[in-house]
Amino acid sequence: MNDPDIIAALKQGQASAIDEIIHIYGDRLLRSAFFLCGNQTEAQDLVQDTLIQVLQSIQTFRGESSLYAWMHGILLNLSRRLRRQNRLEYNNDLPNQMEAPRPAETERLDLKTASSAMRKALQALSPPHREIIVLRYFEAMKIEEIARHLRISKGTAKSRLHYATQCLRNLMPANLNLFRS
Amino acid sequence: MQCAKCQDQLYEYFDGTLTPSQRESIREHLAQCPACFSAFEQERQFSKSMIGLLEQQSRDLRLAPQIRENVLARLQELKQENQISESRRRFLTYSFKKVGTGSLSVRPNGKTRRNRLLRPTRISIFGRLPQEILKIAAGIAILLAGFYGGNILWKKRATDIRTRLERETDWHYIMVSSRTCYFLNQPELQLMHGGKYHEN
Repeated sequence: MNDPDIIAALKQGQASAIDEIIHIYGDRLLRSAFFLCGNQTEAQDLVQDTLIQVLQSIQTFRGESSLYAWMHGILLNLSRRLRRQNRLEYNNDLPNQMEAPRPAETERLDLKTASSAMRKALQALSPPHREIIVLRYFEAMKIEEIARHLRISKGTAKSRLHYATQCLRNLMPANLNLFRS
Repeated sequence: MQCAKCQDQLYEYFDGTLTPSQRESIREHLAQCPACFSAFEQERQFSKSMIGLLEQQSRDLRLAPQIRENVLARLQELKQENQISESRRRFLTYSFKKVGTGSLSVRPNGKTRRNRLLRPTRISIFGRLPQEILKIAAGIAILLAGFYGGNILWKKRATDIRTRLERETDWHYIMVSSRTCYFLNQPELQLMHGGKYHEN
C-alpha cells in the first residue's frame, strides 16, 4: 500500500491503514521521537499521541508534503508541548537530568560508548539545536526541507545548524575525536 | 569566490541543490583554500559520524505492540463520536443533493470543504427526520399558536366592549381600521384601540 492508498483508507477510518502506517513508519517515528525527547517511554507515548492526532486530523491533510513529513511535523509539535509541560513540572530538576559528558574523560571509548556519549551530548543541547540535528542527520533532510519543516528561513536553518554542530562537537569528549578528519 | 560565500553554501553543496556552475566554483575554491577545504571536510566527517552514531543508538528501538491497540481503540471511539454527532450534522447540512464525499470535497467556487471522519456519502431529507427539525417545528408552532390565539382573543374583547357600549348607551361607532373606531356622538372618546379608551 502506498501513501495515497494509506491516506484514502485513513480517511475512511479503516483499521488496516493504521497497521500499514505502524508497519512502514512506526519505528522510524519512534527513533526520531527518542532523539527529540531522550527517553524511550516518552518516545513511545509521543508516537502514540502522534498516531492519534493523525487519525483526528487526516481530513485536513492536503498532500503538500509527504505523509511521513506531515506526521513528523505533528510529532515535533507534540514533543515541544511535552517539553513545555516537563519544564513546568520539573523545572528544579533540570540541571541534574541534563548531565553533559566531561571533556576530560580518559576512559577507553568504543563505538557503543561513543554512541552513548553522543546521546548525552544531544540531550544537553538546547531544544532548537537538538531538533535541527535530528532533522539533518537522522531524518536526512536537506536545508530547504528543514526550513520548510521548522517554518524558518533557509539562512536561519543554516545558521542554526552551524551553531548546533559546533555545540555538539564541544560537548563530545575530546579524546573521542570522532568529528574530526 | 570568497571564503564566506563558499562556506555559506556548504550545506547546499552536500545536499546537491546547487547549480552545476555554483558547484564548480566551490570546487575550484576548495582546491585553492585550505581553510574552506578543512571546513567542508569536517562537515563531511561530522555528518558521516553522526549518521552512524544515531543509527547505532536507535537500531534496537521498536514500537510497543500496545500502541497499536491503543490507537485502534481510539479509532473506534472516533467512529462512535462521529455517529453521535451525525444527527446534529444532518440538521446543519441536510440537502436534497449530495453534500458529502467522505473526504475533502471541492465546492463550485474552488474552495475545499472539510468533512468529518467517516461521513456518509449521501444524505436524504426523505429519510428519518432529524430530531432537531421536529424540535424547531414544535417551537415555531407554539409561537404561531400563541400569536394568532392572542390576536383573536384581543379582537373579541374589543368587539364585546363596543357592542356593550352601543347597547347600553346611544353611542354609535365606525370602524376605520381593524383596530380603531370613532364614536359618532362622543367626541371626548373618539378613539378606541384594542378595547381601551383613549381620551382626546
